[in-house]
Amino acid sequence: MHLIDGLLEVRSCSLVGLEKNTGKTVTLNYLLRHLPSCVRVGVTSIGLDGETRDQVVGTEKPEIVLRSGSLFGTTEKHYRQRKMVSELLDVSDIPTALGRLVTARVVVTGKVIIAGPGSTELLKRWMRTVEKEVDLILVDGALSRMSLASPTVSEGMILATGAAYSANIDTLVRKTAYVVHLINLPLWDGNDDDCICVSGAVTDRVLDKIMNDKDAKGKRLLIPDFTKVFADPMVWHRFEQQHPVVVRQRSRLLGLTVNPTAPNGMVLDSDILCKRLTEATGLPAVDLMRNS
Amino acid sequence: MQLNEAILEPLCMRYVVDELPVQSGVARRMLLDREAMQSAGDIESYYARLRTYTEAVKPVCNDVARRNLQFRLQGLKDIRTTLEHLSAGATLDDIELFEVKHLAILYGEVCKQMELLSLPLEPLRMEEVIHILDPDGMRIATFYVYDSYSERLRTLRKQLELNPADEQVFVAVQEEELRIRRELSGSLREYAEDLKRGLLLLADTDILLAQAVQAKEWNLCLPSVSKDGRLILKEMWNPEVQASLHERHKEYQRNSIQLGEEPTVLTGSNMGGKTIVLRTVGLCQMLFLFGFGIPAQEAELPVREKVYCTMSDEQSVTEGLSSFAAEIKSLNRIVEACRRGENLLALIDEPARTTNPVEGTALVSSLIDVLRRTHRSVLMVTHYTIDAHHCPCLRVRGLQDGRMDYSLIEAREGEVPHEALRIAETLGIDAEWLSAAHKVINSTAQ
Repeated sequence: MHLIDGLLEVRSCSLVGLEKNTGKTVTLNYLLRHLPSCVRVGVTSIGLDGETRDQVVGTEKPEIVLRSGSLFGTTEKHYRQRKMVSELLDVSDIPTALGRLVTARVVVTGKVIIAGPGSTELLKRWMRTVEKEVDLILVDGALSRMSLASPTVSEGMILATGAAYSANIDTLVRKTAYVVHLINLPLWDGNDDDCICVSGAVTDRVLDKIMNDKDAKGKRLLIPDFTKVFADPMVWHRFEQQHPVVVRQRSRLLGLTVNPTAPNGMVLDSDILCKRLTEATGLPAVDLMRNS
Repeated sequence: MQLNEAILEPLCMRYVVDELPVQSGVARRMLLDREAMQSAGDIESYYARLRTYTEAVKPVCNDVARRNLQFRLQGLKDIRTTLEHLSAGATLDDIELFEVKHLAILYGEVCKQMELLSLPLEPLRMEEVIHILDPDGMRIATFYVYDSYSERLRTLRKQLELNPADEQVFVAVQEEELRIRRELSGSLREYAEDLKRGLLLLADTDILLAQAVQAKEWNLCLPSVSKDGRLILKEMWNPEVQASLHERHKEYQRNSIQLGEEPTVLTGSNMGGKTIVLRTVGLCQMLFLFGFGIPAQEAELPVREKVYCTMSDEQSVTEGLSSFAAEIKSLNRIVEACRRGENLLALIDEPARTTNPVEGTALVSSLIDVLRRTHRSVLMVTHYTIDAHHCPCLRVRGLQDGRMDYSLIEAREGEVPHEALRIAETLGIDAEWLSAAHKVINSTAQ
């Protein structure tokens, strides 16, 4: 399975859902189940996630199953509610919405709800404290928290998309392909002459300004990483026709997972969706619900 | 008065407290909650303890042990609520038991480091606590309800391992864990007071060590307690002002001052550092009441219940008062407090400066007169030429060969320096304006 193969090559990976209910937790459980048992895993999430009930839409959300030996970071509240035997390693000063962040090691396989620190800075702090203890850190992302996918946080990323993002296959494929395209923007070659550097948010206005600047004509645009792009796909497309874009840092997109079911019950054809997405992105897209 | 109130006064106190290298959040909270010491005995014994710490951190050979100790103290957590639960007879959960074990192990580790510094900590029954929470004798600060607590638990967990999805076994495991936790909490209850005392002592150690390290690194002195109400500060300085001067590669000129239980008037040219003197005296008095090292070569300070200060530009926007009204009201509070015989130090910066000099002078000379009769310790800065022959008068030496000399000297009665024009000149003001000002002065003199 290419997702697992890719995971074995990175020290950390974040799971990012393009929308709530795009199947991140399913993906996480799938990975945890299929990783070779010799790989010591550390798991946490950013912000409130992994609740038994989805707080936004109210759909059922599965807990995360962790094998013995795995490390995890979650809130005090969720630690008390765990359904597993685990050894408490640390109670940190890192605050979360539901008490302090605790770190524990699974003694007997079981289920736990994972809810980690609320900011990328605190997340990075937690990752630093456990990185020596584990081979791979998996970070479950929260609702459209693209900042988490920043290469400054994790080496690799897995993108979850699905009917919850758009009910129309064409729109869904187009929007997902746009994000994949941004994630895969080429790395800057270090050649500084004639680059336009933007370090903050790249918005439509910024792009328009560059396009209207005669001196900037044909020059490359250099941005820190794809999470800084907040532009409309149309504007972005037009911009890229005139200016190649490069990034300082890039995370490895390890794969694309698909949840064809929307929270309102509408189901897209899984085969067609996966095929269309694979064609549009050049990455194998899989529906893990069906494959497992 | 608590320290968290004291740092709100305009005395640069916050800077000293913020820079104090306290390692744990709980020690910082306890420090900020401390009340100002109110008896000579308390203050003397506090400084005697601090002295043992400053002696211990002085030799370079103790640096490693000291740093190890500081590192350990970083791990101190505020588990007062957990310990209250324990005393109250609650069954602690995993997280709480972890915290208790963590504290007990930390106490032992800190004790060892403290012995290296010849600062023995009070022996408490922490080994017993560790023994209860570490049945396998691993001496690591992690915790769960270990298999070795009960054969039944071990068996149940083996079953669960074989079939993690078995809800019934899981519930049985949880019940057994609960039973054990109840038992553990019961055995630990006996040690609740030791644990509370331990937490307090560690926080206390953290604070004293931080004060000792600050005293060493900043070259602060440990003061003696004045018995006759006299305040003596030799070669004092203001750490915050000094730090900002050093940033601009400038030197801080230290100065000395003595105050008795009477008003002392301080005059001096503009930019002569009078307000800094006022703040620094107030700062030293406050630091003394909270047991800090004093930024002076030598210090002798009296116990004071309260430090009042009125600083320039006290404008009470919220109360809708003008700066004059706000100032007069706060001066009046000082007069009332002196009349009541409060044991205080009052610091008054240029009273009535925002009104016309005729009435201003009248208000200030009468203020000194009124305060003098209350025999309270007051330091007042003024620009007005006033009749203060009954009080000690100091002045900043002022411009000497074009350079400001900030040292304090005794002033002759009613003498107010007239250096404003010279200072304005050094500031490079408009030449025409300056010469016009000189003309006005010359004409009034004639």
